[in-house]
Amino acid sequence: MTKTVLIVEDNELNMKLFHDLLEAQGYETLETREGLQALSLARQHRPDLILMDIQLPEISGLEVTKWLKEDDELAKIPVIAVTAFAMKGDEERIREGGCEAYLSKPISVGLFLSTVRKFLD
Amino acid sequence: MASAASNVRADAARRSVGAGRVAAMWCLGWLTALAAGTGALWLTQGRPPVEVLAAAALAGAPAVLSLLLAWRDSPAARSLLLILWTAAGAGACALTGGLSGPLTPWCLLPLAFAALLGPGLWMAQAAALAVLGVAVAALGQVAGFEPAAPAEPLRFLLGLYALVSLGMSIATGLARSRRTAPAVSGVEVERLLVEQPHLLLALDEAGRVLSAFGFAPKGVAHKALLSGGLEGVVADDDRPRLAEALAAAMVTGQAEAMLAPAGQTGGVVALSLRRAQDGRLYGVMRDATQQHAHELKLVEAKTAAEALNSGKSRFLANMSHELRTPLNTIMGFSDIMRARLFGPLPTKYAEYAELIHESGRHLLDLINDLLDMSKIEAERFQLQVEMLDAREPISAALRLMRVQADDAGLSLRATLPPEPLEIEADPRALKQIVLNLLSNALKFTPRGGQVTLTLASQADALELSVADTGMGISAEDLKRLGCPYEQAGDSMQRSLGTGLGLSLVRGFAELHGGEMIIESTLGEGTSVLVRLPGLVQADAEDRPSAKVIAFNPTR
Repeated sequence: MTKTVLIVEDNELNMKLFHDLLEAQGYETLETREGLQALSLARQHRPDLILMDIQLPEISGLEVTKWLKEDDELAKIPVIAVTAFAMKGDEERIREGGCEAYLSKPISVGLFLSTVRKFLD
Repeated sequence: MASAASNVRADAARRSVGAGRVAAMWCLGWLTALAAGTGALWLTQGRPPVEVLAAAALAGAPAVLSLLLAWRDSPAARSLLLILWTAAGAGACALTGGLSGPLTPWCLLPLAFAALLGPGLWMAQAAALAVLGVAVAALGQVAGFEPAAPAEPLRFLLGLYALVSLGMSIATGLARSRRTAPAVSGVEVERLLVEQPHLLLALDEAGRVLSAFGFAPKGVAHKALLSGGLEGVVADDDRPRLAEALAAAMVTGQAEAMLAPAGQTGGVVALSLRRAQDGRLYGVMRDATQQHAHELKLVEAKTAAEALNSGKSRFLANMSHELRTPLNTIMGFSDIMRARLFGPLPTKYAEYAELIHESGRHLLDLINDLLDMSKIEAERFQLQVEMLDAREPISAALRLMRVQADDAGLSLRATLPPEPLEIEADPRALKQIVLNLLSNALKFTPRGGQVTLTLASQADALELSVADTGMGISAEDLKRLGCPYEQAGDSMQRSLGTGLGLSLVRGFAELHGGEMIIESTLGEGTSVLVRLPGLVQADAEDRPSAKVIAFNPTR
């Protein structure tokens, strides 16, 4: 069965990058730019993995992750945080927020794919 | 206190000059009297004997020399002149028949001169000298030097002349010197106290005003001061501070305070207090409104400059985050092409994809440098210190740079010690130090050159040096290097970096309590030494656990 990844990313080109990468690996993708919509999409489609940009325009990706993890039915979906913050301590903060993995922008294609595979295969 | 003392001294000097002029006038008078007396004798008695003429000349000599007092006056000159007057008087006396001769009164000539210079010390000195002169003349007589006294009536006339001239000279001297009497009289002191521009105060232990002289600053009423004490002239809000200053002055001996006066909104007065031996407080109050305003302006300017600088650091931090988003697309898509994720790619396009990715990588390095520097400047950088073998992060950095060195046609040599170098340090910072130093060395060394890295231990410090055979840095540029955003060389060379490399190295070294030293000769090469403390001797057993050290930029 084809695995589905929900991409939460507000930058159009980054969205295309992640979409193309995942599509090339044969995964289905769901896309949204807004944190709130991510929550309803997750409820509706129950994706196998969520790729979460942390710097979203209206609400922080960390906040959305917190809601996801508070929801018993959604809590088990793994979340990979993607962020342009590259400070020491950010990774801890993000992991404490409930994210299962962390990738910093700019991504390396190899690392990106191996991280995704870890949760889907 | 110092300025008061120098004022007093200046005043004394002025008076001396006055005395010098008066003495010169008096000397001219004496010379005139001498000439007139001698002339009169000559006319009435015929040509006087040689001894008498010589005595007159002798008595005139010190007067001529005394004229110099008008130009150069000093206690030493005065003493010397007194001695000359004594010698002249005694000499004239001895030439004209000794102590029993007619010119004996002239032995007192130094007294007449001293009368001019003022009473007291000079008179005493002159009296002592006169006695000495008389004694010498007497001794001369005893020893057989006894020229004959002139015959009568010359003898009588000379004696009369000597008495009259001495009497008159003493009288005019005294009269003259009284007119130039000392300036520091009680009246003068009071005038000085009243007319000087500050308010001088004497206070008792309770802070009540005992006396006040001078001009009160704006907003301080004289009446209120005398009736209500200092408390009465200070604004209500500042009374506690006044009390504090009074107490401090009583305890420590002195105190300073800036206070708002009761009668002038927006005014400021400065109060300096000092406790004297008698237990009283003496103080100066002056207007400090302008000074205070000036100080406020400086503080404001400093705050503004700091805000601007921290704003700049925040901007840099935000900017480096913003730049990562488009960079993610550039590097991500070019990485997809490099990996040929969607099938084969013509060779040329593959090469371009490679170049795009490499440039992206370079851009990312610059952004990371910018971010690190802004964090160090914003005091947000935290070292993650752990116990490690310094050779490991350094070897890792060397591996990364070796490819670049080969590409640039440079020989990169490294000398690492065979045994582990255990040090308490942040591995990432250590790696950054080496990467920055090597990348600088590679950038600024022409093809065929050599870059040498040496790692060694020196007592309890680690010494890392990177030397190159590159273009070198001029002494002038050397001074600016290591300050953020400063770069050496011309614009061509500058285009190769952000100017942050060495600042980061220095920043990281200082975070570790270490230092960075640059040595360079233009055209020959550059050598950068980084010294980090915290090296653990091989036999040390306890290994401290990881700890966090915050950066403190005030050094």
